[in-house]
Amino acid sequence: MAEGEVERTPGPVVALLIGMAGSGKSTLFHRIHYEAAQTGKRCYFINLDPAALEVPVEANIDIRDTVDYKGVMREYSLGPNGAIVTSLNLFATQFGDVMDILDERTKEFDYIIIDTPGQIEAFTWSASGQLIAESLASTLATCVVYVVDTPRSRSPATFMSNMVYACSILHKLRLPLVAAFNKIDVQPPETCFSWMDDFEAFHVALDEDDSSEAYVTSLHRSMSLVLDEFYRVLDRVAVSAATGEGIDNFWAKLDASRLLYDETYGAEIRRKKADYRKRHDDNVEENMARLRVDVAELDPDSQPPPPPAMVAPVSNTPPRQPPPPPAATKGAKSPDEPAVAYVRDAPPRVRTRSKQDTRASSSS
Amino acid sequence: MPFGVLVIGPAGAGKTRFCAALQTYGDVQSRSIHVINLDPAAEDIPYRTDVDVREIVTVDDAMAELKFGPNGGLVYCMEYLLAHSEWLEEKLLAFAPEDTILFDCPGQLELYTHVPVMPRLVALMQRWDTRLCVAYMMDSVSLGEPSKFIAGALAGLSAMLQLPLPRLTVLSKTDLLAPDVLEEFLEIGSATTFLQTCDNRNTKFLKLTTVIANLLDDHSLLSYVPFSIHDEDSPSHVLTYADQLTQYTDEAEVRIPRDIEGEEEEDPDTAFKALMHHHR
Repeated sequence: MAEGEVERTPGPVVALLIGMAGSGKSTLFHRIHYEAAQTGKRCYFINLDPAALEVPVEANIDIRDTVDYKGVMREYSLGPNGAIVTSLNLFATQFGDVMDILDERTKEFDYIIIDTPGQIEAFTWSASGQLIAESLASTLATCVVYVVDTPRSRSPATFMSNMVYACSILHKLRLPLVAAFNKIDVQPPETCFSWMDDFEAFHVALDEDDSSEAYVTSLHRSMSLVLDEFYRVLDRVAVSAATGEGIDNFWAKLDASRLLYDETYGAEIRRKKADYRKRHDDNVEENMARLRVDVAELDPDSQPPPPPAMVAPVSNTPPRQPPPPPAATKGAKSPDEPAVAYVRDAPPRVRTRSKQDTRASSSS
Repeated sequence: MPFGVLVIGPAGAGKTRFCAALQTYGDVQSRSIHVINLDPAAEDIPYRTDVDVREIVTVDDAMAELKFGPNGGLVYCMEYLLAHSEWLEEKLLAFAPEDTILFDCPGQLELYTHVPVMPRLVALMQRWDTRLCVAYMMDSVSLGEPSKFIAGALAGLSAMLQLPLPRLTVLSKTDLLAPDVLEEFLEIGSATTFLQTCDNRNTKFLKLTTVIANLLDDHSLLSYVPFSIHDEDSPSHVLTYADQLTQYTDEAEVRIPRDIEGEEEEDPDTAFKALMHHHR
């Protein structure tokens, strides 16, 4: 694909930090914050982990300011996992506001860094996580930074599971993926990298692995060949959240994934938006035609001139609806049907919890 | 030597409901199906738990007393269970050899890969002579979009790669799916063909997706069993598959149906006939 053909998305690059529990997402978040301040990078930070006990970083937007995790646990009598998902759901209903804030401030920042809940499933497999990722990706160049725990990936089998899961995320969110091999101060990433570059080396490692958990079948071998294809579309970077090593590369990778976003997801979004707009315009056109006919039938003498003047502004405004009404924004932004329906459904369910509300609505 | 099915899958995939439905089915068919809850963070369990890990430890306790976050709490609980595996062994020994046990497992993938508690637990149970297979619950909503389908299949695979057990993928909540979508999917029975029938415009990843689909086909990882809690027949379908994997059918004694009306001794021949009739 020639460079000039691809339309560029303006504004900052959004990086969603996703990783297994304990892979060091929050520490990396902290480190990025620190390095950004040191090198004068213009970054915006969002924390989406409601259960983070102590984020040492002052995030610009913090889910914990909006949702009280402990309160959710108590009020809805939920367990720890249920409360994380519920908190995220509650926050997702407000995500339109977050998008408005981001839209307003896009020119001030080059990067937006987002920390996600510790439980990887809470974000990747929940409707609200999907919704948040899609809202971001619909207007901004977004990529996923999959944080890998390098010391734990020393075992070839664990490494493979990790990569298979990363591949699953790539398919789920369809956003450019950067694998950040974290904790390289403890375990150098070269072993993992050599496995990624040469699947034969990985086969040898599989054969030699004699730890008690090792269980290797032909499936593992075939899988490694599949992953070889995966590594071609995967960008990787080695970092250490503890020492700050490799963070300069990290920025470069974010810039690179912006290009990939424009070529893949961005292109798809633009196509969908164009489709939507076209369908919308057609609708307006059709309704206008019908209106003209109706008006003509009603009053044959003074027909065309007045109605179009009255109707014209309406046909102009809807296509660039985004800024003012939050409910309408979502419809325009996110072309994904179920996600939108979900948001619309969610608030009443939350509201019925309060007794005054139900009483008020029944009396009215 | 009981037979076991490990029920795994992400949170919200329908593991717990699945266990409940199979237990009810077992009650009706007078086949003894027990459920063991292995999720220390479970709430509101709708089935009878014969063994419950929460008897010895819960995530809430670990969080409250040891000041863990939800993740640390879960890992602590599972490691606690592993350290006190004799408790589980004792409980398992109490089951009759032909019993079927469903293990309602926690969904967090970390327990299968990073902190390999589940693989170790499986190894232990195999040492105790339990015949196991693993059923991965996949939300059938993922059939709606090819990329989600691949994502779901891979997420399951990354856990199952760590477990040396025969595998079965259960498509849960099929009642939420349009019947023709499901039918078409099951009829095709091949990931490669399924993906070809779908609209696939994101060409950047097309090659990767194709390779994955081929792998799923080659290792017949696509032996999907549809399941809906509203369909009376689906528990028996799933059990038929699971029984093949654990070789329950080969090993189980011919059971004489429990004497419901309280009759005295029954002639084994008529009992056998009754059984055959029953199976038909």
